Amino acid sequence: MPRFALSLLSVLTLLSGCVGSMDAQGARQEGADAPPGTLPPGAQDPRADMHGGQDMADRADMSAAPAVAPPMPLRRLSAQELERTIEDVFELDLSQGLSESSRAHGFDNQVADQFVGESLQSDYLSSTDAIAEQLAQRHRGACEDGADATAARACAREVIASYGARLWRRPLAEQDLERILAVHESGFERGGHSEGLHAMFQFVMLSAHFLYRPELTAPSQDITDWELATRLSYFLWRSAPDDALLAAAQAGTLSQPAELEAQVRRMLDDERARYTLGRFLAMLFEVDGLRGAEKQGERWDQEVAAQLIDDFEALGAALILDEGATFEDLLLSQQVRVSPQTAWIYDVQPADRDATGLVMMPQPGAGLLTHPAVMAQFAKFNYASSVTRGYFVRTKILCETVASPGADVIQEEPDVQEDNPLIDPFAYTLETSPCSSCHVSMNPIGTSMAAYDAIGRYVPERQSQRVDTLGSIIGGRAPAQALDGAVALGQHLVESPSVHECFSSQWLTFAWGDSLSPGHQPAIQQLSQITRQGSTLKDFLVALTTSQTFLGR
Amino acid sequence: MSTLSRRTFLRGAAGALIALPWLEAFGTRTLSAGEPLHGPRCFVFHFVPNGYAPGAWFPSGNALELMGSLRPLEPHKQDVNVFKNLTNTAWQLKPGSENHTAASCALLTGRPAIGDQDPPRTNCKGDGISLDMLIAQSHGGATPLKNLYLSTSNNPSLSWGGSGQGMQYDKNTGNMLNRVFGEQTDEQELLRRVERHRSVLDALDDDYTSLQSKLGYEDRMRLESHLESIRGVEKRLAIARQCSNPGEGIIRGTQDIRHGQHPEVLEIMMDLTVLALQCDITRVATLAFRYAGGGRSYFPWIDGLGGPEDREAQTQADYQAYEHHELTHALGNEEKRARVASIIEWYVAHTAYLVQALKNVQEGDKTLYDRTVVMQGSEHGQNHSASNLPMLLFSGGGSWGGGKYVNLPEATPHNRLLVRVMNEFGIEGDVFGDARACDGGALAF
Repeated sequence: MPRFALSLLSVLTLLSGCVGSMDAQGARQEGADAPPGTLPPGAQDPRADMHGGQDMADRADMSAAPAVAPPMPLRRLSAQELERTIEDVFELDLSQGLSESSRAHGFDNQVADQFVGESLQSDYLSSTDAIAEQLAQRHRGACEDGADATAARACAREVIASYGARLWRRPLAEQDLERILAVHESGFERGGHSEGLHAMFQFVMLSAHFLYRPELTAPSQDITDWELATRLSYFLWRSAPDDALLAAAQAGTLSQPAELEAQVRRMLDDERARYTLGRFLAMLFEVDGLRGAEKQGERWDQEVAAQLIDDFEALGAALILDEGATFEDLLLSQQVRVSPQTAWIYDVQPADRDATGLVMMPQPGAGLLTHPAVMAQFAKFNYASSVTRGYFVRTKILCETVASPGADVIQEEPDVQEDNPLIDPFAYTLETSPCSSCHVSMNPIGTSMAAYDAIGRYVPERQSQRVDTLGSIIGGRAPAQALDGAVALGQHLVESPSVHECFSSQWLTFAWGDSLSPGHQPAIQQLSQITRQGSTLKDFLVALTTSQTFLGR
Repeated sequence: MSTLSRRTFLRGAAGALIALPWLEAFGTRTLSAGEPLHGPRCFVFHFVPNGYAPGAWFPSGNALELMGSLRPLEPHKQDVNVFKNLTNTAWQLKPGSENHTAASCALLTGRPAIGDQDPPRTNCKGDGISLDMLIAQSHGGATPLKNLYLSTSNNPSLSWGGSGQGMQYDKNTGNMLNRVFGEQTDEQELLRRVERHRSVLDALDDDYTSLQSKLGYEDRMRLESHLESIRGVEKRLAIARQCSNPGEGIIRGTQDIRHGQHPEVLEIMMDLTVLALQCDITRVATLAFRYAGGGRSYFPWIDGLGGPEDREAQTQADYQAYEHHELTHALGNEEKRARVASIIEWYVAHTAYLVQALKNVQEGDKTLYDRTVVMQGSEHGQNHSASNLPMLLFSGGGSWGGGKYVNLPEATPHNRLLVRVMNEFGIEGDVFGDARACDGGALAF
């Protein structure tokens, strides 16, 4: 039995309530001093909607004056966005990444993580040096170093003009061109046309108009078509707009509803959207954490871990883009994407793949919810953990916060020799006060996923006994609801309005690049209605990108 | 008073031949407050994660006794100060943020952390400027680098330029070397690059300023910090490094430093730090071999400790028997407690190495140590507690002397020690970080 000890401080922390929902500003709503199961006077139960309780939409009707979403913040390109943008705009293949990104709100594109210190600025200079040199070499032929200043300037002007609106995602004004050419001129004086081109390209890539996504429309107005093209491309492609988008912006037709929808659907058919959807889902489900994770057993290695993440991303994107999946399908699909390195985990053969590369699993599935990458990520080295899986559902699927056990809780990892779902090594947390007050909201959820082992394999029987997957979920004032198995859990979740709101708010956070405000609440509700009504996620994305929130400043 | 020649060639900490800048050497060995130094005052912080092992840190009596993990400091006993009853009060100001990163974020900022949620549980960040960065900002002077932040992990949690403004780190020793000394390339190419960068940065200054004027307040502020960095880098481009790049000999063939898998990396980090201070490339350095918290921190090279050579190959048995953080959850077990003591002793031995290396740099009749404030600290005490932080502060560069065991009143906020160091660098005030954790002002000892 693991040992544990609690200080008075941690007891008080636990008693102060362990599960809270996130409001649109990311703040916990639960009363800080409320004991478990009670709410402070006048407070709304954040979990009330989970089991036949009050619906979030109804609650919105009770709210006071509608809040307005603030303007989208000025966003710098993340490391991955910058890399993809340089590759797409300049048609280059960058062999190595530019720098690493950290993550806020689970995503790598958030303004909270976009501070640029001297160190990163120095890195920008050194990393763009090599790229600018490549570009200078590409274009120096048009005008040799021997050319005089006037001829060289004309050449440089021609080079820049050849990139047109692709460069800064809008037409270059004469004064933009002058600023760019002044850098060329200065370089020309130091070292001729090649040096001028080199400095010019470096400036163009480090300009605030390239490295950031400035939107200069007044807060009360809709964004311009150029700004819309940029929003769409970074949201759906994580890269710069292509020529078709820019042409629609140039023609002034992009924001027209029919054209906008057509462009969004075209973009969703592009490979770049597949990449983005996969990445979004991987960040949402935190499966990147599997990279480098060690698991017991000889067949597990880093290649398998990386492939599982790829499988996960490809499955998510294929379900949405090829299979017309609804949110329910995404969570509960029986299809998987199998590769030769991971077929043994799914216990199916890659040869059984259909035309889209997916395989139908023999057992009832639970889609991304119990994908091996997710189950392995939320498990320990050699055993499945009801706690971490319950925590995953609470925080990522329900967007709730779960209080920390407290710094003074001393606990040891259970000494588990073998992954055996017949014994829950964390059972003691449900039997001991005050641990149980919080763990009752997590462990029973994890129990319903107990048939999946530490590397995500479906193992419903162990030692000739059926694995006990009888879990439960609590929410609000409703009694705990029994759930037998992951499919029952998934079905319960897709019926919960707050799960749909969570999913919508995650997409909006990703699109917005910042924590959401109460002004985003109407958009969250409208979007969640779409997934609740069983629309396809492709339609959901079209609705999001054509919504007033997305089009507004 | 004696002076060094303008470009004196000395062997650096690792034996590399380097050219030294001019340093005027004068003064007496014992400093008093306000007394001028023989060179710019420097600051080095060495982070040692996960607290200490009970019974292997604090003296049993009232006198300074270097026992347990502190034994490697015996040669520097007259220089080190050990503090009892310092508490990470700032971290505790935000209940519910009980995790290592939040505690680490509070260590040098003296403020509770922020994060994705409130209280912060994930993606914790410092909520204000950290002491090392404040010193760099106010005292760093015209050096090629504002500060040096050497670590082996992508989980920065110590140095913060401001709220949420984390510092970048290097992923390999080659980058570290280049960051400190500049890339090894021929002089002509180097000059061409400096001129180009100056011209590009100058144009960027106009570019960012012009865009800034068209933005709303919050966006303007976002661009403002970037603009400051552009100007900072541009200003430093003009400062030629006084020392030539000593070459890769100093990094002893070790390239990949990620996760601190190679024990020699901490020594390399310290060698680079000493050279950077010696050459006045920077005056502030923060070193973190590994971060706080759990996972895969093994020290198989220490006698009596096992664990995998490659952290990716850990087994459950390794994890429970040898993983640093996991061991700190089992301090009731005598054997495991002794292992924690050994790990901390390994870190302390490196602090001793750093102090000795600083003392080895003779500057007239004084040494680099005499103008360098060296501090060691952890985010926790024992058992993940905020109390009894194992902080060390050396006599060099300060007016506080050394060889003291400073037994403070229980739960003395560690911010008070930060205030004292801040004051020593000429930054006045009774508060550093959160004022609620500064009662009593600068710590007198």
